[in-house]
Amino acid sequence: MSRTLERSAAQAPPAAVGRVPLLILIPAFGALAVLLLPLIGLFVRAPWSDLVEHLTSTGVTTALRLSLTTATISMVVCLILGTPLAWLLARVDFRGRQFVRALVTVPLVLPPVVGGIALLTTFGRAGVLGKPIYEAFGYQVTFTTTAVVIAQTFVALPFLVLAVEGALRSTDRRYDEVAASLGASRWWTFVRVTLPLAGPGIISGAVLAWARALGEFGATITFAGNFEGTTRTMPLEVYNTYQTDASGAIVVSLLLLAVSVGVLAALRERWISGVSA
Amino acid sequence: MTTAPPEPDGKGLDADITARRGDFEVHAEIRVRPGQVLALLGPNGAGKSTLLRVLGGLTPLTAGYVRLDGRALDDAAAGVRVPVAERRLGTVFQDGMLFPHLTVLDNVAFGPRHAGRTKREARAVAAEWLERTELTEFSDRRPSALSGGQQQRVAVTRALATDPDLLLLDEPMSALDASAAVAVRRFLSRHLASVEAPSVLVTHQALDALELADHVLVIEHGIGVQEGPPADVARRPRSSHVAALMGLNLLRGRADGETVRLAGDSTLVPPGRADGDVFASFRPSAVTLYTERPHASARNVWPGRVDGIAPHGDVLRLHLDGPVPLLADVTPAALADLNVGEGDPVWASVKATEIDVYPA
Repeated sequence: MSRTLERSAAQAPPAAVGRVPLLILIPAFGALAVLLLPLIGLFVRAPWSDLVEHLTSTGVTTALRLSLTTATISMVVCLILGTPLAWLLARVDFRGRQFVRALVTVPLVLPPVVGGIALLTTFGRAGVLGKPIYEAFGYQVTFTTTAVVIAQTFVALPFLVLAVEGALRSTDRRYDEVAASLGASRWWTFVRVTLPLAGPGIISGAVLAWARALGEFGATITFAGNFEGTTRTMPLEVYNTYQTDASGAIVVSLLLLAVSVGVLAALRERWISGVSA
Repeated sequence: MTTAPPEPDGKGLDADITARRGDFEVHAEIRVRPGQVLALLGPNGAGKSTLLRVLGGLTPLTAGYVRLDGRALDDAAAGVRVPVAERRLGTVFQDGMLFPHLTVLDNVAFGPRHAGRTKREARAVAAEWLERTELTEFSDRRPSALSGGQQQRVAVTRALATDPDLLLLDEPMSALDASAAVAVRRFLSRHLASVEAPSVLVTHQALDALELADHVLVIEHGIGVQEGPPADVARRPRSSHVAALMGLNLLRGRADGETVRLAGDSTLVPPGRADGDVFASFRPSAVTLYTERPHASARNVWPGRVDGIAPHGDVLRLHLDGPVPLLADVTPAALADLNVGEGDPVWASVKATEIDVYPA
């Protein structure tokens, strides 16, 4: 990261607009320090000698598999539900659109634990929806893997909706008119023109949602509980391990970090352009 | 202002449109027979694109109707508004608007595909059309790999491939550089000839209308101000804007047999008898300039002052200010002989036989 900075500083014509002001440079490096120092700490304290032993313990592999599965399912659910909502917000003038958009952003500012409690009071066995469902079918969603997916979707969906709405807004609406004038219905225009044109933005929205789902902790532990194999995802595994084995927790943290950074780095360009769009 | 009457059997386009464009109202009656091309000619912002959007179903009309082959596409009174996708249109937009994520072939196949054909059939239709328009070599390319002129030719092909009941062309040459515009204009003139549907072409270039249209409707300030065959409109403009588009001088006055009283105290001698309110038009090249009042046979002589000089093709076009504002074309050599520059007084004369006088 710092190498990129040096390189672009070297490429910039120094005489043209003057030096980079210190008042900008110093806080910028401060920001990098805030972001990077904790990660460096993690690396420094990592028990590199018995890394493999920690990583291959059944608890970790089970949690990793569960995390990857649930985060991916959550991302797909977000795409299926969130893309149409983003389209409505971007393309249809309806009363209360601003209000709906504000509602979508609520989970962004809500502490995940509060989200978990909200989910519990709605879908829990005694919950607003959960109780009639339990009485009718004898099924309760809490403490199941489904609950993990619900919790992750709840926190990840706003990221997807906002990113995709931005992508849809930045695609030229006149292509919709062209498609219609060539005889395409609104649905086929959406499928064959709007979606492909917004493709990069949708991908970055999906990646954001996946990353958010992968890191989800508060809502999951509150709503889905902490059971190995069914609801104990990687963040919960980190938390669990930390109770008894601090260095083990560092190893699991590094693994989680490596997985998410690996995916984000692979899509970095699109991710960044998607956020700005 | 109305265009040619519809055929007795109701075939073709028959529209009486009132629509809002921002804060002003656009109104025109538009009639086009099958196979004919109507040009909506006018300056930018006159409302001609709004009329085209109404025909295309993209903008609602506030009053009136649009009927195509007897079928109501819009009817304000009856509350009819057929959705864009069901109008069976072919539309060519100003800057091509090819889908950037599709190949040329799939762009052209887009219309046939949505007319209910399978993917394979639609591609076959598209390939056939690309062959007809001699664009087969570009089939597998993305639009971004084509020049502006090539893109616009593909866009025309895409519109034709829908086998439209109505073809709409919105300033198809205006985003192109001069040489590409010439090529696309020639391409359009070749392929519009075989279109059986009525076509409406929006343009602010007189040349487009002259070359491509069977009929011209001039739109200014939201209303039709003149209509007729292109040659008539070109020869006998009825507004200073059309005259400027056609590169003609246009004067207006009141005739009493032998002379025409112009604005101010000037007069004009018409080639023959004329009475009532008239227009008089003549080419800038028909104007002869003198530094002193001429005593020659020409009786149309007006004083003026050179207000501006600009190259115009092989000649120089002088803007003359005075009681009778004029455009005059002179060769660079003639201007050198005259030895006048901007701000200098001159005398302008026009032979009566060079002037076309017609009722206003």
